[in-house]
Amino acid sequence: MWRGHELFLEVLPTLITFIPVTLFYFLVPTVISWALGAWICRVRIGKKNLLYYVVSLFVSFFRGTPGLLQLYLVFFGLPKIAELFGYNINTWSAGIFYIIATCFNFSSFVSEAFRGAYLAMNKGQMEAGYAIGFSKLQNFIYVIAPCTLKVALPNLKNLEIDLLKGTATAYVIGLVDVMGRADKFIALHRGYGQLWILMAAGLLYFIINVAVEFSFRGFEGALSKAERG
Amino acid sequence: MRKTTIKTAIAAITVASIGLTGCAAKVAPTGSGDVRVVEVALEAENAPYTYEDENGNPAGYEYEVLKLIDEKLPEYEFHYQVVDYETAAAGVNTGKYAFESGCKFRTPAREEAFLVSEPYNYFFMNLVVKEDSGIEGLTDLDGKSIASIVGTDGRAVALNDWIKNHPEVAIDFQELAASGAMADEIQGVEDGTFDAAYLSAEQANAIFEEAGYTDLKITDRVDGRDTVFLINKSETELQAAINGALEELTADESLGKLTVDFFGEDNFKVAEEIGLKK
Repeated sequence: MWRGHELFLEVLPTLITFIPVTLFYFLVPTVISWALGAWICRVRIGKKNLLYYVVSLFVSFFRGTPGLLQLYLVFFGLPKIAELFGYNINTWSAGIFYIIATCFNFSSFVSEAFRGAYLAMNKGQMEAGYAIGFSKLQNFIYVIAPCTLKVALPNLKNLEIDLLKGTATAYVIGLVDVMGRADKFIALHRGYGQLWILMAAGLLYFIINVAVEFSFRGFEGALSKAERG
Repeated sequence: MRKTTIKTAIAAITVASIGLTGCAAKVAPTGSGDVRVVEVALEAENAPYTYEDENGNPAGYEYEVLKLIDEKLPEYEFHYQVVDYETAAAGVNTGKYAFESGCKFRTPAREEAFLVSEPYNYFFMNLVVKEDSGIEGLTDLDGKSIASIVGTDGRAVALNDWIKNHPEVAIDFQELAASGAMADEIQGVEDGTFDAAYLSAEQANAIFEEAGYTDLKITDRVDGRDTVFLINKSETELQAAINGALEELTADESLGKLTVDFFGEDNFKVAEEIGLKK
């Protein structure tokens, strides 16, 4: 009588079609957060001015509070702030709020990965760059960025895997990705076969994560090859 | 170096904001002009009352009711978002949504936190029990147990009210802290963990159909409540408009007919018969 496995097979093809949505909410925050994280890192290794303290507080808050709480704060709080300025952003789709909240959170973590890597870098390399006549920009592109990235990559890989798994919380604000679709499917079946449906979603997250892990390994390999080469 | 990173960050933020303004352009002005767009939260986990169908569109009895109300109110245009039940309640509280629809009973806590509408449906609870248990109603459950329900579910409130009003019947009923699945409540009866599950015949039948239980039965209705929309405290005008529309839709029996389509009987007539409807 128990036909949970049938639900597993029934839901799997549908969930697969939502993988691009999950990847979108994984890749867009990644790109924005790497850029924002680099800037935060730059401020945090620089002079201790007002901006330094503001940015440090930002990083401390977003690293020190639960992601789900931040998602709710942005989802409910941001429209309140926009209202003060006369804007109504309540009709924005849930995805935009998810991206904003996730970028705040993720860039804080990324900035710390960059900062740790920058501090670990041998400063002699930088001086060598200037010694052979590199401009600031050239020194950043050819010396600082590759050296920092190489050290930061293992850390970033862990963070990216967390980010991917974190997309599964987005369904609470109505975003329909792999997890969101699984949740709606469970509701459609009144909770029957819940575990099987969740296992189907779990399988897909696992497969995507393996792909992310391999991409990072490939990237790491390419980077050390370039260094040798 | 510094300028480059800043430029990169600015570029990233610009790209993001272009995306944002693109979406913001769709927004109709609220509070001004002729038609006001009203954000409505529909609970996601509430088939057949509110849910999202296979194609990702809002669906259910309450969604059909809302469409009828929207037709009656040219000054408002309802815009729906299907969200988690906790997000819906929190969102109405903060004003993100003007009101929510999720098969909500009228409870003292809700009446304090929200404005409530007139009833748009009646919800009847039945028991799911083992066929040979001899249990026909709540009074037969003296010394027996009912499957746990999350405390914020109206069913838990209704059941606790009944238990309080009937001190002679000692029913073992525990509330859950987090929302469980109704299918699990019935599975608990099948397993023998609980003696009864407390939910509507419609919900029980849907789960029976999924699971194919053969040794369980659904009793006659044991209790009932009206269900209402939960409206943000400041939306008194909207509340009045919704209530006006509901009054018309109840009087011309549009809602009654809709309940026949969804639940097989006219819930409004049943409510009148058992004295639930004033």
